[in-house]
Amino acid sequence: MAERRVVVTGIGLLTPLGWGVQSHLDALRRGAVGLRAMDEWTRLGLRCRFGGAIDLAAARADTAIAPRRLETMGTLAAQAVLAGEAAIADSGVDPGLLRHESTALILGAGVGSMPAIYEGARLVFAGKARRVRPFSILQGMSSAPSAHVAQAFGIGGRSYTLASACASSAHAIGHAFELIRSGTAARALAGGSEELNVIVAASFEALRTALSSEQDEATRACLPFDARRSGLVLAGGAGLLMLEERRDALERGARVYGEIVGFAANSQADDLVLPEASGEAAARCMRAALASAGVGPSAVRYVNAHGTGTVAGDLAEARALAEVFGLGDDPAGDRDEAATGPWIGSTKGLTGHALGAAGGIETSFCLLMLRHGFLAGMPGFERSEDEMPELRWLRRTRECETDAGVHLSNSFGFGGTNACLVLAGP
Amino acid sequence: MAPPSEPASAPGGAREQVLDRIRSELAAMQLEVPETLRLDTRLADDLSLTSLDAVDLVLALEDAFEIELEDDDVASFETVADVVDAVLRQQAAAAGDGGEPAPGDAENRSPDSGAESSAPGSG
Repeated sequence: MAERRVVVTGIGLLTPLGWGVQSHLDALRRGAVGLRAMDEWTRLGLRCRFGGAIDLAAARADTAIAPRRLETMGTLAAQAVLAGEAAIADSGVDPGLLRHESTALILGAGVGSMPAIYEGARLVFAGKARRVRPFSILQGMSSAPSAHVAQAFGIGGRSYTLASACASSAHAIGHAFELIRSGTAARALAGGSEELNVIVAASFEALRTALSSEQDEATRACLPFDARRSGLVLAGGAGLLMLEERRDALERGARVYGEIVGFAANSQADDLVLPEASGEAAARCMRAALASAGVGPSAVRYVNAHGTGTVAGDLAEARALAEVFGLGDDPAGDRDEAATGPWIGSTKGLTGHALGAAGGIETSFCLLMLRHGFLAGMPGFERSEDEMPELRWLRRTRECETDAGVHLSNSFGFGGTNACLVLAGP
Repeated sequence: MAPPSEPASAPGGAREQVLDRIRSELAAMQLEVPETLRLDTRLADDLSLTSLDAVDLVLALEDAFEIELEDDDVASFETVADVVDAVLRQQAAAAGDGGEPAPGDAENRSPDSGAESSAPGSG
């Protein structure tokens, strides 16, 4: 029996760039930057200035879900539910099928809702343990995104939330892909959600070197692979996708964004936070993902890099990319841009880094680019530093054929965890 | 439908005050409140309150009336009257009369409303 293939038929996106597929298509083509100054963080004494806040009200305006239900979910799960509702509607999957055990729900999140945990803790330590709301645990638990999405849409198959920090939703999509490919599930709602808040921001700032030091311009706040980069910019958001077995999708005449053709995951035990400087494990993960897809490096047209804008992370990833695509042998001092190999870009300069939601958001971006024939550039990018391998940097948005090669989407997380997805056009 | 039962010992004013407060707290919780919230209005069937919503309502009422309701009472709430009774009972207890149940209580409880029926599920 031929191996089952997995296509994406629905996308729900809520990011600092906007709400819904069309607004993201427009923003990605324009190279819009969705970051803004976070005055509350400044007032509370944080040094990082910029964040990628989302407009939850815009998404709430479109929903059929009662305001009370959204309020009691908390922001983290509400984002997932709203993006999930959009992805389901976009896919055209019969809502009745969601109740079937063949429908899985696999989400990712970096942390549960910290404000919910904080509010409960604040009451406890004020001697008001009996005032803790019953929703505290249901918002704060790690599985809040999948729990609330499952309840909202009556998911009948397996449902859980995976956690692997910034790779969470890439792992979730990869796992869902494997479930469908193996015949365990017929379809899956997959992706992730992450809530942006000052507690997470302060926790990242405590790492001292993780966050961008830019104070003035949102367009310079996050500069992946650029020599001037100073750190990542935290963001919130959600990206959920409807994955279906390809034959089922074609039989019902579904619109197909593209296909998930490969996935791999691995780890390195080097440092809890810092990437392995050589990028060797990341390179192995990319190669394994390409092998899973049955293609070689030359088939890759575009890499949506993890590229968060940290000094160490981007350098390690560039080394890994150079290793995989055979571009690491340029003579020292030759700063000519690589003329061959895949285009290398990161969309985090536009969206910021939505941590556990990043994989869902960026997989969606890759599929939109594949379907609509363009590659989203890095408008802030000027040049990388001398130590960084010179790759084929995607400075400006380019139009391209829809059937030209596959896309590789990288996600790496704290704890040395890596996930790579390979995506093909419709 | 049976006429709404009322705790006979509670002064009408006190009962109305609790009912008004329930009405305003339900509205604050963004729940749809019928124009005439009656004592026999059912929390789950008529107001679509989940067991967790009911606990949220209890928290608000506890704050408003400076009382604390018994967990067993909360778990067995089925109608608005159950909530009103529980509040009045605790108010009476707080006022120092020993918290004896109001005479109407027995009629307001459904016979099968045990803690198991509305307690949060596992997990």
